[in-house]
Amino acid sequence: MTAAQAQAEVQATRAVQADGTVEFWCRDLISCLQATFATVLRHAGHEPLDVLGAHWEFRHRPGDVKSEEFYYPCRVPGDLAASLAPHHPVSSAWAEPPPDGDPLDCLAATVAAGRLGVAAVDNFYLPFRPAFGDVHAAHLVVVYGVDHDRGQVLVSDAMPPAFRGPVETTHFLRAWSSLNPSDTQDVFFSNTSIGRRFMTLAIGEPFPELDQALLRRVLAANLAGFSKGGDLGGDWVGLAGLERFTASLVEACHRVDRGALADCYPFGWGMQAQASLHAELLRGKGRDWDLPVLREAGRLVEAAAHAWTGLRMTAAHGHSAPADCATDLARHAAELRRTHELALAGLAEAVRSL
Amino acid sequence: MGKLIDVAPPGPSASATVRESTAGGHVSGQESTAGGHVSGQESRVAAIGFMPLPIAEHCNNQAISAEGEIRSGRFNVWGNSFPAADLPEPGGRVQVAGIPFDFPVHGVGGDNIRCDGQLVEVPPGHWDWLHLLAAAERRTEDTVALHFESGDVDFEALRVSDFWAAQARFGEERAFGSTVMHYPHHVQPRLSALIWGQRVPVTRQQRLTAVRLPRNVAIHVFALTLQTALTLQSAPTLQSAPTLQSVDAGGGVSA
Repeated sequence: MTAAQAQAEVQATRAVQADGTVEFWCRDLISCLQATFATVLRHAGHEPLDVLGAHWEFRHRPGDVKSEEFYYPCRVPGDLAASLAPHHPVSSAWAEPPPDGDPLDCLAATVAAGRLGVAAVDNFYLPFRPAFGDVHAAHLVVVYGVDHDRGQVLVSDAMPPAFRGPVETTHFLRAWSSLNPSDTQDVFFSNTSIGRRFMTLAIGEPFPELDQALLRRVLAANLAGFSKGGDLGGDWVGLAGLERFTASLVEACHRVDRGALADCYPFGWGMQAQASLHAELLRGKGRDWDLPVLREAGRLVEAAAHAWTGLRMTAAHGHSAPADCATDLARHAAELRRTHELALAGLAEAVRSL
Repeated sequence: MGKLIDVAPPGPSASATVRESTAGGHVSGQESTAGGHVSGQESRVAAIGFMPLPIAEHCNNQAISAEGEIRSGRFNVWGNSFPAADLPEPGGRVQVAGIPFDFPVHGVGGDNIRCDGQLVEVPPGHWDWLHLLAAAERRTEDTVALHFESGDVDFEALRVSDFWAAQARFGEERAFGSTVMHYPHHVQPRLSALIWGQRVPVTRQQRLTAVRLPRNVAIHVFALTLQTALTLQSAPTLQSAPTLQSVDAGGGVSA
């Protein structure tokens, strides 16, 4: 069905809901970015971990960090899906409804066309979120239906406390249209306009099965990415990029750059989530294929993911008084680099075993 | 300092005796305490000692709040806290998977240790395990430093899963899980805050004297308990012997 046909159908029926099951998929270290994409992938019949856990990189784009839960430094500009999963035929694009007409029609048309929408929202206006009426925070939810007659939007949110069901249109529109103003209760995810943004994911064919041959290529590519120089088109990438980023973070403490420390929280979430999913993938494949070396590599990558916690939380708690946390932040930065080096050595060994 | 107490070893087999011949040769494996005395053999009782440690002097954070004072919680960067109504009484002794802990009292510094490299002195002894009730602001791994009387120091991993409605990723025991989460301005239903029962091995067979906690604000410790090795002690008779006896942890520890 074309978009125009879907739009016409929406206008005729005034109510659309996605076919099939809309499933939750969540892990403790991921954000709404991975969780929403995972729900979309499951709906399309694919295993989210195979897709979202394959790629692992370090990438930091100075000045690019946004105070949103779903911030991620895109290697493919504007395409979060292709950036998260470059080894699979997936891509995404942000869109906004046209200025005139019912803004929900574009979401309804997406669903009518057989896709799920991923909408940016401000949690302050969503009754099922803990931040409702309290804290402004930029978040993502899956939209799987629109019912104009009942005045409802059907949303799915796997992040605790998970919710799936109807939200009154008035609430959704406020959340979707919010300016997400600066909020002292949440300096990490507020102060970024939501602006009725939504994403659709394109999932292409052929969709590869993650067998040992593909995983070997994936790991080799990941290793190559980490070995690249520190500056790639303005992005700080690889181990050298990680070294540069952590050094800059410690320097930010000494020059009392509170913003740099606050940025570490949303930026580090994307890096931590990616590492944790990669670790889980390797652990699972190592078990399924009875490859102990792969499981060990997974555990080493997991340790790198865990090392992000110390850095992120130290920066978050210390951002109001950066100089006071410089020593601890330097210690966590060193641990983050050390765990990455060990993980990469483990991955190199795993590649040789595949 | 804490006091050594007698507690059954954890696990499905709450207690056991081991029979030894009078000649000292090991002649049989475990049997239940209900087993009869075997003529010509000395009955020996397998025993473990636990010592819950006082931590009040190190507490520096408030992670637990009553429903009427939810603004006071400071567990994480968002000001979330554990609902007191879902947790043990402050100062009470609780058992988690057979391990006794003294649940913290809310004192001047707070109700838990937010890890900042505190050095916790322990009763010198041959301890085998350090048990913790702990929670983490995100899944966390870090290191504790075990200090021994000899001057040696061993570093061991402390691993704590996320407190936020998460699964145990390090094989910990789920010690306590709340039914709601406290936010600074409301009580959130359908969201659980978790405290985990975790342990750290003391592999060096020397007298432990102190534990340096991690320098990691993400990790919170609510209680600490030391455990001795499983040892055998003489029992007067099986019929009259207590199921378990206290164990001296290598001198310097009073039962």
